[in-house]
Amino acid sequence: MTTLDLDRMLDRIKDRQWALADFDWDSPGAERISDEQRPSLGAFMADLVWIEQVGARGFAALSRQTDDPTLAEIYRWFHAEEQRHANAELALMRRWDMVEPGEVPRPNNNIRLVFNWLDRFGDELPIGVLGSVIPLLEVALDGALLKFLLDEVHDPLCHAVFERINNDESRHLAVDFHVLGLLGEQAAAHETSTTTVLWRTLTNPGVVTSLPIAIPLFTKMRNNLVAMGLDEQRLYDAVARYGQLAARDGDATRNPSFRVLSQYGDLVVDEDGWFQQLAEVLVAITDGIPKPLLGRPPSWTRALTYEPVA
Amino acid sequence: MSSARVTDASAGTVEIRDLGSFDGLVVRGSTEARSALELGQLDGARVAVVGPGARLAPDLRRLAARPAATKVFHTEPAWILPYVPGTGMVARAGWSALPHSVDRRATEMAARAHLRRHVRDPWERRQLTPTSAPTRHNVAHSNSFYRCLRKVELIHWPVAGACPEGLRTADGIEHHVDVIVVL
Repeated sequence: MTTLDLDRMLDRIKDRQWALADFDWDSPGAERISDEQRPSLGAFMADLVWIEQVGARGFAALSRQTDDPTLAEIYRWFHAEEQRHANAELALMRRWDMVEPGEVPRPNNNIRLVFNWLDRFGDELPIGVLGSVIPLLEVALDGALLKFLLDEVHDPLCHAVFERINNDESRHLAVDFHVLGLLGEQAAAHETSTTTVLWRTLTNPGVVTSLPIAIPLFTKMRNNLVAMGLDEQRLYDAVARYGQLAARDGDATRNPSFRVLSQYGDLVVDEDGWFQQLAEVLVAITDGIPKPLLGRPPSWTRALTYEPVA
Repeated sequence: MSSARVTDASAGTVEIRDLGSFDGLVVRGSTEARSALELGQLDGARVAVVGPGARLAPDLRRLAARPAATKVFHTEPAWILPYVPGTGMVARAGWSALPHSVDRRATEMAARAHLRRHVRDPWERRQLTPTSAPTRHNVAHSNSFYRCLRKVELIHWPVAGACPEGLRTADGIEHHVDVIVVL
C-alpha cells in the first residue's frame, strides 16, 4: 500500500534546498512583535529551536538504523534540514532581539536529558521507535505549534520563513508515514507475534530509559504552550491526525511502537488523567537536577548559528 | 603513498549542483589540484575541498598547507589506516591470503583504533566512521589525515549546491570561498 518512490523523493529534496541567505533578515516587520509578546514568544522559540535540534539528531540516528541506502541518504538530508530550521528560527530570534549577538538560548534540563539519551542510545535503537516518535513530533509541530505561532506573529518574514520550513516538513512527513507503513508491513510479515515484538521493544534499554526522559519533556512543552494560550483542542486534533494518517495505510497500525505512541498521545492530551499527574511529578524531578550532573552537552549542539554566511 | 586509484583528472569526482554558477576557480581531481598548488593558485586563498574521506586522505596535507583558510566538506567517511613504511606488501599479501571476513574485521579494528587515538570528540568520531564494511573503495592509508582535520574547518553537512560566492550546505549556510577543489 505504500507507494512512495524514495529515489524521486531524494531528487526532490535536493531540488528544493534553500538557505538563510535567501531572506533579508533586516527587512521591515520585526517591529510588529510587541513588548508583551516578547518574553513568552522568546521562551517558545527557544524550545522550538532545541526541539528541531532533537529532531535533527533523531534523523541522524535513523540514518544508521536502516539498511536501505537511499533511505539512509534521505535521513542524512533531513538531519541537515532540521538543523537549517533551527538556524532559521534562531535567526528570527536574533531579528526580534531575543538573543544577543553570538548568543544561543540555553536548553532546559529536559532537553539536555534528551540530548544525552540520544547520544547514548539513538544510533542503536530499533528503527520502529524513532520511526514512530518523529512523525508524532512533526505532526504536533506542524499541525498545532506552527499554526498557532503564525496566528500570533504578524511579522511577514516569519511567515515567509515558516512557509519554507513547512514545505520541508511535508516531505519529512511523507517519508515518515511511508516508513511507518513499511514497518507495519514488516511487523505483519514477521513470524513473531506482535506481543513478542512489543515485549522486545519495551525491554530495549534505549526505550526503557527514554520514558522518564521523554514524558516530562512533552508534558512540559504542552504546559508551556497552554500557558501561552494555545487551544488544547488543536494539540488534540494534531495527535488524532497522527493516528488517522497512519491508519490510512492499513499496515502501519501493526507496528507496536506506533500503537504505544498513539495511546500515549491520547494520554498526554487528557489533562486530568493519572498519566498527567505522574508526568508532572517527573517534570518536577527533572527540573531539580543540578546542571553539573548533566555533564557537557554533546558537541553537535554547538552547530547552531544564525549567521547566513560562514 | 597516495592512492593509486585516483589517477585521471576528474573521473568519478563528487557532483556539485550549479557548480557553473561559482565565480571563483574550480579545480577537479587530484592531478589538477596538484598543478593548482604548483601554480600557487591556492596560496593565501579561501579554499573549499569537497570529497569523500578516501580521496581526501592522500591529498589533504598538501592541499591545506597553502590556503589562508581551508574548509573540508566531507561527503563520505572512509576507514583510515595508519601508514607504516614497508607494510604495504604485507598488507596486500594479507588482503589476498586472509578470508575476507577476517581481513575486513582487522581493517575495521585498526582503523577504529587509529581514529580513537586522534579524534577525542565522540560525535566527530561518529561522523568520521563509515557505515559500511571496508572495501577497496573506502579504505585509505594516512598518518596525517586526522591531524590535518584539526587545522581545517570540517563540515559534514550535505553540499546543497554552489552559488556565485561559494557553496551552500543543507543546514542553510553559505560558505564563501575563492577556490573549490572537488575530489
